[in-house]
Amino acid sequence: MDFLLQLLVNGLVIGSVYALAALGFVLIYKASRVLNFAHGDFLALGTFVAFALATSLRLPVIPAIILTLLCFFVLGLIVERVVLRPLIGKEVIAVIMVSIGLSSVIKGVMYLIWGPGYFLFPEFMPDVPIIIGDLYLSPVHLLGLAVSAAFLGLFSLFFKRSTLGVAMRAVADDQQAALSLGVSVRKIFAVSWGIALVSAVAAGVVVGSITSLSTEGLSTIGILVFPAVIVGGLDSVPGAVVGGLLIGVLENLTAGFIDPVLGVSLRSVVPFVVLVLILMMKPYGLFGTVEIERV
Amino acid sequence: MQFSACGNYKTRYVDEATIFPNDTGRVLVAVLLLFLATLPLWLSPYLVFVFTLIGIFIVGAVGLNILTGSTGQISLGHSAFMGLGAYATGLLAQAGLPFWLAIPVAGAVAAAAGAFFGIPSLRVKGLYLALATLAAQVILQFAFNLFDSRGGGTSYLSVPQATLGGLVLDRERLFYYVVLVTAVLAVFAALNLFRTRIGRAFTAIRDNDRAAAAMGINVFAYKLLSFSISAFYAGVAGALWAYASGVVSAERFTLLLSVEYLAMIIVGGLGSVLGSILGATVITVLPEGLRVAADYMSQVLPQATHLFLAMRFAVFGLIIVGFLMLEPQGLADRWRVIKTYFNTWPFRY
Amino acid sequence: MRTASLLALVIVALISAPVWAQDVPTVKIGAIVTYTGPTSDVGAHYGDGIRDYFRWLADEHGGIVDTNFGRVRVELVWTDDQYNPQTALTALRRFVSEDNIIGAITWGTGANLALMDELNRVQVPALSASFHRGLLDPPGQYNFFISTNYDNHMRVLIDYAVSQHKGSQPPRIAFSVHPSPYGRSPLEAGRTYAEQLGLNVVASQELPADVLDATGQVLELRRAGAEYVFFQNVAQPVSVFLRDARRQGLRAQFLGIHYAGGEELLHLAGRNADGFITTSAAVTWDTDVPGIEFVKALNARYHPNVAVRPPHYTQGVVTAMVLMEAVKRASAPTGAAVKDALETIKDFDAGGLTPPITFGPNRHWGADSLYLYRLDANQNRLVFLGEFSPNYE
Repeated sequence: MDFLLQLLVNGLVIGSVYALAALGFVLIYKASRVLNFAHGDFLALGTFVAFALATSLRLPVIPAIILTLLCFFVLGLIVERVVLRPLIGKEVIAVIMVSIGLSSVIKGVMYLIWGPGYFLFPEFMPDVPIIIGDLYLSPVHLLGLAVSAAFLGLFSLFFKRSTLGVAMRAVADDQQAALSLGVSVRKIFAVSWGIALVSAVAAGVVVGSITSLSTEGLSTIGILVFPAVIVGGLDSVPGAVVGGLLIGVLENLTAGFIDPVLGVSLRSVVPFVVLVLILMMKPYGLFGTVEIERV
Repeated sequence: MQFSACGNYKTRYVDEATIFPNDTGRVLVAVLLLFLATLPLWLSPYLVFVFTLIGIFIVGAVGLNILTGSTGQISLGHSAFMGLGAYATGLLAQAGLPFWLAIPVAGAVAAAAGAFFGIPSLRVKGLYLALATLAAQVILQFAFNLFDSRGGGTSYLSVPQATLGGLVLDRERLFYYVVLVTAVLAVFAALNLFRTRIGRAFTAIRDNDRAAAAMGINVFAYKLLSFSISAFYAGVAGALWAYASGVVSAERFTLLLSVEYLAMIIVGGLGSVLGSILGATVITVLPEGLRVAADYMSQVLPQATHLFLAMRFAVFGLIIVGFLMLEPQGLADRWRVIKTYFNTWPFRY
Repeated sequence: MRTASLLALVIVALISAPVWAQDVPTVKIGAIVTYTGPTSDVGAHYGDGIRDYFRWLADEHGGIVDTNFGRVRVELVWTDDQYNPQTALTALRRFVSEDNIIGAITWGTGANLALMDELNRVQVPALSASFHRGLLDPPGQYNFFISTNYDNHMRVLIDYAVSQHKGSQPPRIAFSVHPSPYGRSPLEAGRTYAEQLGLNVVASQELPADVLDATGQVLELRRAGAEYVFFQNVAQPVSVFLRDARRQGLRAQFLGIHYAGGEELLHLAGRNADGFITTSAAVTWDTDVPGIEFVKALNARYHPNVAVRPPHYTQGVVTAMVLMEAVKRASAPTGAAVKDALETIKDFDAGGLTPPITFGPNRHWGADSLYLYRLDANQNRLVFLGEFSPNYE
């Protein structure tokens, strides 16, 4: 029983990271119908920038992270303006391809600056497990969970309460209607990118402090986000959160119960099997908008 | 001397469907093929191998273009189908099947898998479907990796050289001709596909699947057909790759290759067979060229190695992004513009 | 600014390139190593070792070497294969047909398996960083490696675990490997050997290289009650595992093969890696052997800002030395002659950097023994435990 509980807790920790990453991904999709294949790379880049600020400039960890988040908000605006806006109205596949190209560019930049090695965030809190009964809880994991939850809470508040957040939802819902109500769709697109990158970097920093930093390792989260968003529904923000948590838990349950039987690691592939099943049974995910086509 | 029309004066559908409007095109293609056939006689084995790779990826890219460019279904799993073809070939070749039988059988295996992973297209389309193919990629890649571990001590598939009636088609020169012939067959099959009911049905589905259904096209059946034709091409490309490299291992058939395939048809031009050829050539030669350049530069300047290694990624990405922003219709369209310019010269209007 | 000065350097280098003297013939060596992509964290050290050695050769001696077939200039051509076998294969074909290389140095298991047939066909010997048993099967082909194979590394670790074991019950052991031919290669041998010795194999699991969270794997081993865990993996996933092991209270002795341990693991896992046992084909940075001064000088000369290197850098340097030794002994500037020369190498000693390396016509693994180290986090160094050889074969 405690084995199961332990797996569940741990799944939630990792799942919350997926949820954060998926959140940004869905925001971009909602705003501009772009599947952002560079999401994982932005995430990795942001984590590395925070790391560099914390180590090279010797900033304390928290200000370094906040500074990085600000930088990436601005970077999101720039990317949207320079790369994505000229492509409005182009075929979907062209836009996908641009994000793939961007991902390659970012990889190049990361290899250029940091090379292929692994790095560690400076430790900022003791990492001795808290033992409750048979349950081991790591403070770093708990902090990660708390930070992810805080970010998710902030974002949901932002979408519910702030004018900008409501405007973003309006644009996602119906662009024409939003335009006619005086919402600047352009601005919303740009802000979506900014916020999406912020959430990606937040996820990256959490992962980075739980584990370690590497170009390859961090950018794979960009691929793991896909099952999460499909489970939740591509265009649903709460769906992304639920999907992310579900995938995290599922991975851990697989690692705990199925892998030992087979002796091979299925945990990385199970989310994708789920993806196919979901697509076959409930194509628009748990919360996604069912596209109704009228001729 | 042949003249070409300066506008569209075709009066019959048959004219519209011809591949070559006049003999000039036929002659040019024949000359080009003859030229390509002489390559192994005077090029170094390495360059012949590069051309062999180009030929292989042309087959794959033409296949992807049938699915993505002409039927409008984005696939992120093309390299997995190629891998399936390669593994099938490895097994068949080890079982002693001649290459001319192993290649189409490998294609058929891939086609079956392609149809299976096309089933979600019954319910979903567009980006959702793209993600289904992404899942196909991840799952098949996982299976390839697992296959290694079950392969006994060797853990990879060794593919014997192809032989034709006692003649060994060595990987350095002669196998190039197999690839050349296959690529030519693949290209002409694709060109002809679009002259048939099937090809027109594909285009109708791409442009508007509801309207296509209203016209009496069985959309689902044709989508599956498109998936399997495309996977067949990928399987054949995988089979050729298996013979050309002599060994099949899982590390080759990654998501990155699927992405490169997409890059090929986008750089070349969506829905255009010529575009697939140009795109496959560019995307095969470009990384290799960048690599050779980076290798050379870092040999001259060893202290800047990381700069050149990183540049390879960055330049590749920049070229793709730049291309889409400046030349979104692809190389095929640029080629058409150039051709029109000369066709109508000096009277441009 | 940095870019501008680099550009200037490029131009200067390009202009000065043709001035080199052309009086002695040139022979080329090819290196196909991994600087980007999977395993590049370790691969880059190995690649640097090889390249620094040849840079030193070029800078100090103009690349001039006296061989049995006369005085030649040796040049290194190299590429980054990104851990992609096709890239490695294309590179090998390029090096063979454009550069006429007479010997090669390669990196990962995947690429080497892909290159095997081709190496035999073009008759160029390759020294690989992979110690996969399958590379030497059938024996006497063109693949060589300087250590003993992974199976023997695993057997030494199992022997060590048995020797350390206290208690009346047989040790409960588990394997955790990289999901690839590289990772799985010593699994079968390790399992068979453990069963022969009467050990209790409680689990065998896979740990992907890009793993972010190994709690599932750790919990599995905790539940199975593993006392000894054997890794065949690279440092990063092992470090993730060790950290989660401490967080989840898995108390076991952890042991790893060559690429799992070393200074990187200490750097990545810190005190979580304390007590980790690793095999190594080469000595560590602070080992007091005659050869290490040269290796340190090489690193200081070309990478002044890198203070400590893992044994894989030294391994790269030694591999380059062994190949150069064969080039010197070769009767002709051909790959086949270099292969024959490699097979004459007996008890090659690179100043104690590795155990003595001996090759023969049917013996293409270099050393029969290997080093064992224990990672000590408090002193931040690797403690030498001794030189061991497998009690097997």
